[in-house]
Amino acid sequence: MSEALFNALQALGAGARHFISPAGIPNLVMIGVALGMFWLAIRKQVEPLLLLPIGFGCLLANLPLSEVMDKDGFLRVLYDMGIGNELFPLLIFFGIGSMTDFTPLLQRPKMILFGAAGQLGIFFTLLVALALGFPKALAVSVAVIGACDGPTVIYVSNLFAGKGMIEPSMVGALAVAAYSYMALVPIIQPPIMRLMTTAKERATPMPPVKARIPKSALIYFPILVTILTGIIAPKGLPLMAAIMLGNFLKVSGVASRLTKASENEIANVSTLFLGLAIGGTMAGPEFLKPQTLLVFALGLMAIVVDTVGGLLLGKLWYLLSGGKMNPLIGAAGISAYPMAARIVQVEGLRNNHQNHLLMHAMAANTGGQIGSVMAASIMLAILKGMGLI
Amino acid sequence: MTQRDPTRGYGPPDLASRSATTHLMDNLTFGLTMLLVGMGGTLLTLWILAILIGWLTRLCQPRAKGGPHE
Repeated sequence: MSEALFNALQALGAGARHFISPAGIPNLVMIGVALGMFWLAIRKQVEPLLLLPIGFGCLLANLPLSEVMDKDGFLRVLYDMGIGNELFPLLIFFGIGSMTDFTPLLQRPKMILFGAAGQLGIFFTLLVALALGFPKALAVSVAVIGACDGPTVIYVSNLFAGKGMIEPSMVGALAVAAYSYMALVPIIQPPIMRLMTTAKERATPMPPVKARIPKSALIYFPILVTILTGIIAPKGLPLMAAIMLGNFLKVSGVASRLTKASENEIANVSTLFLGLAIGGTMAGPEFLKPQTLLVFALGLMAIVVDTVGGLLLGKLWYLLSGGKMNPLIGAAGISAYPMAARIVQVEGLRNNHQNHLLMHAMAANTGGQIGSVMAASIMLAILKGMGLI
Repeated sequence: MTQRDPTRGYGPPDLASRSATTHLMDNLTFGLTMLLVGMGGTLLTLWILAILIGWLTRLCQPRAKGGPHE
């Protein structure tokens, strides 16, 4: 009887014993990280829809003797259901597509070039990561943080994790880095914008474009982009197709129920499950290593260089057009929509109270959305051509 | 049944054999290839898309009823 009591009490105390053993320290640190994510989400409103489920998944995965990520565990089931097969990022893209308005881009098609310049960070960071000795697949995954696009990062990194080319725990680190920096774009971008442009350049007026875009053009646009991506970079077609399908449903005007479902139920449920499953990959012993810190540092660099790339094209355009292009708009050529466009509007108004850059910046910003997915798709196509995936 | 060499790509034989060598590619060559083809490809694709959007919006504009002198 006393032995049975002892064994029962020992079983109840196993978790506490794990915490006070050296093996429990990484888990304790990660529980601190989870609490930090809750603080950021609730007190600072930093990506709460993602950081809350990611933090909770992280908390669950780091509780002692937790079986949530074991075979048939709660989070493992979610992981296998939608992360292991890249489904959840695509479902989130449906929602993003149905919430995006491409009208400003169709009014100013050339602005899409900012969406290309805004991907410079991806390729620059790739070079730096390779120079630091990162394996190729991990270097590509880190570089894609420069797409400023969480679902794209998860899609690409998980593709590599599924093939055993990177550790699954890195998917969590990459996702957290991507979403954290996306949320920090309003803090990261303005100083770079002020540093790289003169007050005269920032005050450049941009007249409004009043071209009316026919509904039929808005309907053909997602079909056109899908076909073009399918021809040039089929490996990334699911990413682009998901955005474009969401948008197609919206602009068709005849599938409002599906549009509402994409914007709300599908996007919300996928975000919740994706966050929990990603958090589940953040178990202390696998997550806490110098490489994770480097991933965060390189992710920040990617977003900084993206902004620099967009601004450089903006300055070149300013010169070539004889001062008719406000170079600030270049900073909106990233995928953080509509945050990056709003920052350009605020910075523009700061220098010229009559200057409303929002719709121009929205065009560049939607170009950045397409550009980031296109860049990731092209990278995957090249990797496939090289026989690496 | 012949087994596919996992180090080979899915392209035609000549491309596939070239792919096998890329596994041995050093990081600098890999990075520069990605930079040139990746950034260049993105820029080129989006430029083509900008042209196509221009055509699309022009093609979809409703034709004005009657000529300018009517």
